[in-house]
Amino acid sequence: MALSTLTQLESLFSTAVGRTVHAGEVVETSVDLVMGHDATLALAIADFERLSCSLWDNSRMLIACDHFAPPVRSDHADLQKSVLQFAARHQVPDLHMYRGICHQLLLEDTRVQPGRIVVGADSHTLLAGAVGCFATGLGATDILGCLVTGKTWFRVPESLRVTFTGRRKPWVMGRDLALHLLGRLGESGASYQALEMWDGTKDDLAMDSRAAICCMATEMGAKAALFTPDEITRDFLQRRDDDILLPFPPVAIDEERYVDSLDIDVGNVDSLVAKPHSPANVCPVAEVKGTPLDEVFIGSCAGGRLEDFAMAAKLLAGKTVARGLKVIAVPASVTVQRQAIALGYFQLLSEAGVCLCNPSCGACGKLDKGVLATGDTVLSTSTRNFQGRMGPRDSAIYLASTATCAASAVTGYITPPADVWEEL
Amino acid sequence: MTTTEIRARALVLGDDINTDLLHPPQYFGIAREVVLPGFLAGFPLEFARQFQPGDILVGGRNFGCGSSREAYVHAFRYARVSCVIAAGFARIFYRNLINAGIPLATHPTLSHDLHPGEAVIFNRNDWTLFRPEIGETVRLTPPEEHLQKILAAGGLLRYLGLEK
Repeated sequence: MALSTLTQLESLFSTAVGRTVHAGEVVETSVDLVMGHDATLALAIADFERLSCSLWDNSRMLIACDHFAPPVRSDHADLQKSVLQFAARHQVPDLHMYRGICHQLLLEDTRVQPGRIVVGADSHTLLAGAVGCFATGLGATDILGCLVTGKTWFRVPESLRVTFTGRRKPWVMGRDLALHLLGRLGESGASYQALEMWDGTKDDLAMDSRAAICCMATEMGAKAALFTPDEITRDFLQRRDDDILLPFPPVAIDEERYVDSLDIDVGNVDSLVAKPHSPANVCPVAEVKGTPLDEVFIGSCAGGRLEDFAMAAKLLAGKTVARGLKVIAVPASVTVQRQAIALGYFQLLSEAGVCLCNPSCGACGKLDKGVLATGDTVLSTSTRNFQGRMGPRDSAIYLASTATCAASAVTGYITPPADVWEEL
Repeated sequence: MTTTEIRARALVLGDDINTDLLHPPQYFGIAREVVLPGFLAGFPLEFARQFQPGDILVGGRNFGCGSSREAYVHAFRYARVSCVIAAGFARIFYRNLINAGIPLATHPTLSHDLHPGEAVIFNRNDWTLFRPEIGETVRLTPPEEHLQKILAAGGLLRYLGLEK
């Protein structure tokens, strides 16, 4: 099979199914890992048990209790209980109780390797593509099919090639690059496509930034997003997997097969904001500077990693959050939490007046702590600013990087991090 | 009228209608009494109230973008959405509807062409929509062949032989 005449995704699927396949073909393929969480997996389990299904391979599952972590409503506790009972009944080894957001846990899981096929019962499963795998979200019924058969179908996606070059301004984060892409592509600009990203910045995009970009590709309609494995991937995997490094799949792509190609000089991107009510409603932070805030949320799978805590601590060290402002920070996993504690970030944030919660999805989906009041405006690192996503219909969500959120937490209104950077 | 025909009214929605509008996250659950009240609950009440059981939803581009939470599909079933037509579907939403056996089709301009609440007749056999008011038959694009098999089986669980 001549992989050099394919996109990376075509190459990945060709390897998976054992014959050359091209974008547009529908293939049945086995999956390497199936992820589910306490909310969506509960739906699959209800059918699974009702139909007395048997589980294909319990070692290829990752279950996270992260949406109701811990539950605040008894009906949510009931859903979670069904997931816990399922994990016990089928002896699923990987049950993560309140240990972080499912997508971050995938990123931290040794089974998530370049070239593999990962499916999850959640739209932001794309995040795991940061290490160079195909990772995508499916609904509960599709996940049920995977749990029983170990297989699913995909239409091999067309690929859009994104190349990053240059050097970031110090306050510009992966999240800003994701917003830049959203601004250019729109809410459906990458529908059914895969974003294949190549980092030509020479070590400027760490794994945490890559994860934020892959996660937010969901909001562009993408089926998958991946970074071509490189030295950063190698370093990350070596540290994560105790020096065990599997060979990377060969990458020899044909430029002609890409639907489009975007070149982004990261040095030309400044801090950005997505205004209500679309993640693609993007403008420079300066344009909405001064917008008064009721809440600042730093967390979720799009922004609760160590890089985010380091940035928040840098901007909030020795300062105090604005009086009466709800400032909530939630680490994306216990690993992030422990590192942030060890590095002193929690102490600095706590002294600044930030409310630090346990690893979980947090305020992102109106299911957990941090729900907005009527008329509230929040600046958030979370994934979506759909109307009513974090509170009542008349609440407003602005999405931004952790740097922008931390700078704004001090003033109480939307503040470009560049404005305060010189004082640091 | 044969059983392949669905006689209904069209509730017309716009572009980029997301799952949080179709079914806000706080209505996530399994029980009908939790899930059903969330149907269209992200829209103003007066709009959501226009829906009557058996109606067809007609959306624009990127219909159903957002979450994978399949509770919205359960809500569609409980509310008795008979068919969904859009200019384009977000991919997880698309798969979820097919997996639930809810018929769907695409048409590039229908969300602009129809007037709100217009009476239509959807024919699942030849994938057309008849508009009695103007006597016009609109040709729809059916799902891919592979997906039509899942739909014809009545959803993924039946297609896989897990459910009788």
